[in-house]
Order: sequence, then C-alpha cells, then structure tokens
Amino acid sequence: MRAWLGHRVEGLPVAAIAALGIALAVYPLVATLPFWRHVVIMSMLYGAMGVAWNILGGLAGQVSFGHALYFGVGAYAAAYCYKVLGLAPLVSIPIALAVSCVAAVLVGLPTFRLRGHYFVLASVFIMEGIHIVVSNWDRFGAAIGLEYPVYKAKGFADALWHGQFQDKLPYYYLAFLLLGLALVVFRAIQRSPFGMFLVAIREEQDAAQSLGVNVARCKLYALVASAAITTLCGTFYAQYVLYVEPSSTMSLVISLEICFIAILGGIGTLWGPVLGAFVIVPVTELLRAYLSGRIALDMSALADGGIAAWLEYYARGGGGNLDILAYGLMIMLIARFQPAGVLGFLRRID
Amino acid sequence: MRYLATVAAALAFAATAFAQPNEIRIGLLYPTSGAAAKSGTETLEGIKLAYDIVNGSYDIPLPFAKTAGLPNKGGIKIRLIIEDHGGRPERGQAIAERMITQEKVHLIQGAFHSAVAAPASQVAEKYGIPFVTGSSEAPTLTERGFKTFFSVTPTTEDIARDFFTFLDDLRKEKGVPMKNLSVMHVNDNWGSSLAKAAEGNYKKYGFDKLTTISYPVQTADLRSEVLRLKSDAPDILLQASFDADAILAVRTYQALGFAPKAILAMGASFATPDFMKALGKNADHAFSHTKFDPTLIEKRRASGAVNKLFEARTGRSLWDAPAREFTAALVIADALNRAKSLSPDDIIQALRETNVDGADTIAPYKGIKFNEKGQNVLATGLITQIHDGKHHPVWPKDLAAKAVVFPAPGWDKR
Repeated sequence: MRAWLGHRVEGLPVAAIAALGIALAVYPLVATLPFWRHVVIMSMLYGAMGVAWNILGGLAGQVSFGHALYFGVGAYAAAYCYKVLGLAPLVSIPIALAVSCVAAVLVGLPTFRLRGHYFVLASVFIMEGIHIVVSNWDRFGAAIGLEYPVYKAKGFADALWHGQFQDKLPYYYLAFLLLGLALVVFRAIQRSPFGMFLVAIREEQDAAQSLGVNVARCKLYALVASAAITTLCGTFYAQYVLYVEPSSTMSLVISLEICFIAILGGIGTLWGPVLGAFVIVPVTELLRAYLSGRIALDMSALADGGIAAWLEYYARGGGGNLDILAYGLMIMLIARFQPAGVLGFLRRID
Repeated sequence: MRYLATVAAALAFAATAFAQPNEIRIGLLYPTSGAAAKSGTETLEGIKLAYDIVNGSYDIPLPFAKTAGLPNKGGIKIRLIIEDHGGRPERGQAIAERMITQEKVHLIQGAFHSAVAAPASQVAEKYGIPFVTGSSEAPTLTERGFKTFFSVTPTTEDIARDFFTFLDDLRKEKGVPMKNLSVMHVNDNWGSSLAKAAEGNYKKYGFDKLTTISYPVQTADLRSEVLRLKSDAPDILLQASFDADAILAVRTYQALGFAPKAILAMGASFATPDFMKALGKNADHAFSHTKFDPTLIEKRRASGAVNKLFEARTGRSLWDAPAREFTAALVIADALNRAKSLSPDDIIQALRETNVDGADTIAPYKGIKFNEKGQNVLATGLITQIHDGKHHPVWPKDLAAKAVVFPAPGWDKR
C-alpha cells in the first residue's frame, strides 16, 4: 500500500494526487458562495479542455487553433436538442459526439496528409467558416443564439435529466468528473503504444513513418479523442450558462484561450494544462472581479493628472482595465522566464 | 515612490468605502474590455454621471438633481459596484451572481450586449433581484416574461415600428409609392434582430417584398452584397452597420450606382462626425434612428446641462447609449425613491408602477411606463436626417427641427 502511494504519476506521488483530488471534492462544501464555486468550475472546465487539446497539441505536436469548433458543436448540439427538439442532455451528448467526430474527420483527413502548417491553418479556417454559417442560420438562432427555457425541476433526478440545476454544486461535480475523465484519457493514451507513436510523430515524423507508423491515421485518432472531450465540455457549458451564441462558443478567442492554458501550463505534460487552468482562470476572474471597476470614478481627472492620476484611477478600479494589464503581464513573465510553462517552474524548485 | 504612496492611499480609500453601511448598492454590468470597450466605458460614464447627480446637489432641471441622495429615503446615497464582462455571456452571468450573493446589491443595471443581459438577467430572476437595462435592445429579453426584468430602452422591434410608422407618414404626406424593402445588416445579434423585426412587420405596413442581406462583422468589401441590392432595387433600405462598414457601404452604393429613395439606419453609425467627414455630400439625406441628439437640448430642458457635464468627464458629446443608460439610471432612482422599502419585491413593485413624463428625461421617449413583461411601452426613438453634413431630427413631429427631404436625389445630383 505504502509503495503504491509513493508511486509517481508524472512526478506527482499518488498520495499527493489523492490529496489534491479530495481537496477539490471538498472545496465546494467549504466555499458555499456561488462565485467561489464558479471560479473553480471554470478552472476545471478549462483544465479539461486544456488536457484534451494537449492530446493533439502536446503528444502529437499538432497545434490546433480551432478547438472552439468542437466546443461550439457540443454547446450548440445540447442547446438545440433541448430547446428545439426537447431532448434531454443525456440523449443529446451522443449526438454531439457524433457531429464532433464528423467535424474532426473533415478537418483532419485532408490536412494530416500534408506537412507543416496546413493543419493549423485548416483548423482556424474551418472553425471560422462554421462560425459564419451558424451566425447566419436561423435554425440555430443565427447571431442571436439560443437561450434555454429555464426549467424548475422536481427533485434531483428530474434536474439531472434536464441538466439544469438551481444550485452550483451538481455543476461543480460534473465539471470535476469531466476533468477526471480528461486526465484519465490523456494518461491512458500517453502510456499506450498509440501515445508513443504520437510522440514519435512529434519528434521526428519521417523516422516514425519509416518505422511503420501510420502518421495520418494516428494524428486523426488523436484529433478525434481530443475533439470528443472538448465537445463534452461544450455541452456542459451550454447546460451551465443556459445560453449559447456563436461568438462566445466557437470563436478564435475561445480557441486561443484553450491552447494558452495548455501552453502556459506545460505543453505535452499530464498536469501542465490543469496547473495552467488553475493559475490563469482564477487570476483572470479575481482580477476582473476586484479590479475591473469597483468604485465609480470619472475620467476627467485623467486629462491633466499625469501618470499619478492614471495609477490612482486604476488603483481605485475606475472602470479601467487593470485586470487585463495584469493578465498580459503574467503571460509575458511566464513566456519570458518559463517557456516550459508553470509546471517547469515548479519542477525547478523541486 | 510617490506613485506607490498614491496607490496605497487609493487602496486605503477603497477599503474604507466598502465599509459604509447606510446606502443603496447598484451593480453595474458593462463591457470595458473587448470589442465594445470604448462604447461600454462611455456608457458607464453616462451612468456614473446620473448617479452622481442623484447623490450630489446639482442645479439641473431633472428629478433628484437639487437634493443630495434620495429625498423620500432620508437622503440615502447610491453606491455603485462596477464590473467588466467584456461581452462574454458566462462572465456576465457569474458577475451578476457574485454581485447578488456577495455584494448584496439591491438592483443590477446592465449590460450593453443583449447576449450578456440574457443569461445575467436569468440569474437575477432566480434570486428575485430587479434587473434594469437601458441599452440592451433585443426584443427576446422582455418576451421571456420575467418578473424582475425591466427594459427602459426601445427594442429593435420598437425601432422597426418607428421606421415603419415614419415611412407610412411619408407615404401619405409625399404620395410616393413604396412597395419593395431591403434590409442590409451586419451579422451579429443586433443587426439580425433588425432583419427579424422587419420580417415580422413589412406586410402590415404596406410593403409586398422584403429581401435581407447580411455581411460579416469587420468586412473589407461589400461589392457582392451591394450588387444583390442593386438587382433587388428596393424603394427603401433599412440598415444596421457599425462605423467603418457604414462608410464603406455608402461608398459602394455610390460607386455601383445603387440609389434607393431612402436609407434608414439603426443606431448612430450614420450620424457620426466621421461618417459625415468621410462621405461629404454623399452622407446627405440618410436617416438614423437614435435615442439622443444634441438638438434635443432645445426640446428637453435638462439635456444641455447634462451634455456639458458629460463632455467635462469624457471629452465627448453625449450620444445614444450613454444617454439611454443615463435615462434608465434616473428611472431606477425614481423607483427606489418611491419603493416602500428596499426589499427586492418592493423595488420591483415600484418599478412596475413607474410613470415618468418624457419631459423629465433627456431621451426622446414619450415617457416611461412598463407593461406586464417589463418593456417600456412609451419608448419611441428619434429619426434624424443629414442635411449639409449635419443631422437634424425629423420625426416624431413634435421633436422635429427640419423638413424631410424625400425621395433622396441620385448620387450625381448632389
């Protein structure tokens, strides 16, 4: 037993993983305010998406700037099935996964045979294309989006069937499960021969191919696995926010946020994206909540007050964007001093 | 070092400000980052100005200006809790929930983007806290029939109704037939809602054909769209565009010889100084639907003074969105002042009983009165037309400053 607890999963002892997992599971029971739960829910959601992105981007070295497509497919499938077809999330999830698989194959099949940056370009263009189509398609609410009818559930089972909860707690544990699932899938792939093929492709595609690795097919499978988890995250998002619209579900901004999490956390590692998400998401949310403009101040003092006036304006949170400045600074510092991501920094301390 | 001291002093100030007990807390949910950062920040300044006027003592002919604080409530002051949502629905939702559960706000005002107002007001409805918007104009917001949601602004549905009523008046007055209508719009939720509203109304107002053409946000070329318009040859064009694409569109109309009898634009993009500067004579005769115009200063007695205060803060004249949210803020102050207590239910009841005369606002609205869905039924806008590089209100008649030029002369006859 003791030996097993001391076993390390990518540098982290099993005992520590269990402790962190339990801490995360107990957290919402201590933090009862919705906002504090929300911050961790979003961290887990983005963590799961970062881990999913990492299957393709980290293991196989195929950078996707279009992952919001799969997120959007999940969100829209859930919202459309619920609002228009009256289908419960449990029914819409397989539909969402099927659509997202098809989308992944359509993106991957032609581009993975090519070398270089074609996949990166295709991932962006196809996402933007679908974004424009959805923004124009009345069936999907066009640019206005789809808003869920709010459902007042009778009991927990009913709420689960409708995927709508009044309280944040069930959402919290669903996000927890999503993150767990993403980590298990990543780890399973990483340790399988398939995962080794992916790493071989990343390191030296020609050598891998000459040793008999079917490069295009391996990349495609990695994309499908990655897209499937991202789609699950999308359905969760739709059920959580109860509103989907094109620009906050399948735009480049969301895609970049997903890969930022993985890259800044530590690309190609198991824990990197989780760490990235748990640094970036709370920092963004807290900076915004406490610095983006808490106290009313007018802009007039800025005209002739010089830097001191600006600093005071920002310090008082006078509607300025100090949160975004701080976020930018954080990204620059990580990129400058820790290109291996936050995880690399922790490893060095170790 | 001096800066550090300033920062420290400011933080200390911030800390003491939170401790004030006897106050009304209003959460403001607006974008100060993202694509609408600039408009959002100015809108926020308009709102802050309104609450400063309520809290302080100003010599302006507006309710609550002369007295400091709310008179019926013993001069109680309003404190604002402001947070940026950057145009993201999930953020707006989280912020609304945080404001309600942690900041214990009595009321939320938001959100500029209709896409953020929708989920954020869902949260407010869940907690039974009133949510008032002065600028989110998607008609779907009030159609949900929420008990806590109030919209002071005209919706796009109302804007379309204004356009159609105005066109109907013109048709009768000038005897010019109008049968064929087109809508040209930027493809976001604001633009598409105009197309939707036109679809629902065109037959009722005597048009027999409608074509809608949309183009992507931040486009660089509109030739194919304009060629389609030209082949449809509508009598009237309704348009929803942002600043840069409004200019591009009119240039393309002229280049390709597309000349409808009138262009009616939603929002302020066809009446900005940049628009008139860039297009010169070709800007003339375009109509805009707006909710504020500096010429209102003669018709709405408080507008001039408010405009001056706004200019002192931002260096810009008051415009549509800040003026509308300013108006909403005063409606909120009025309801808070009348409310029996500061419990959410009493505030909602007071909002429901709102009856403000248009003359007591700076907006062109006939007044403010909510229907059972929380929509202001007296929210009419103002239609302006450009003459010689300046825009003038032409509708409704009682606020008109100049006669209408219709149909517009062709591009070569200007």
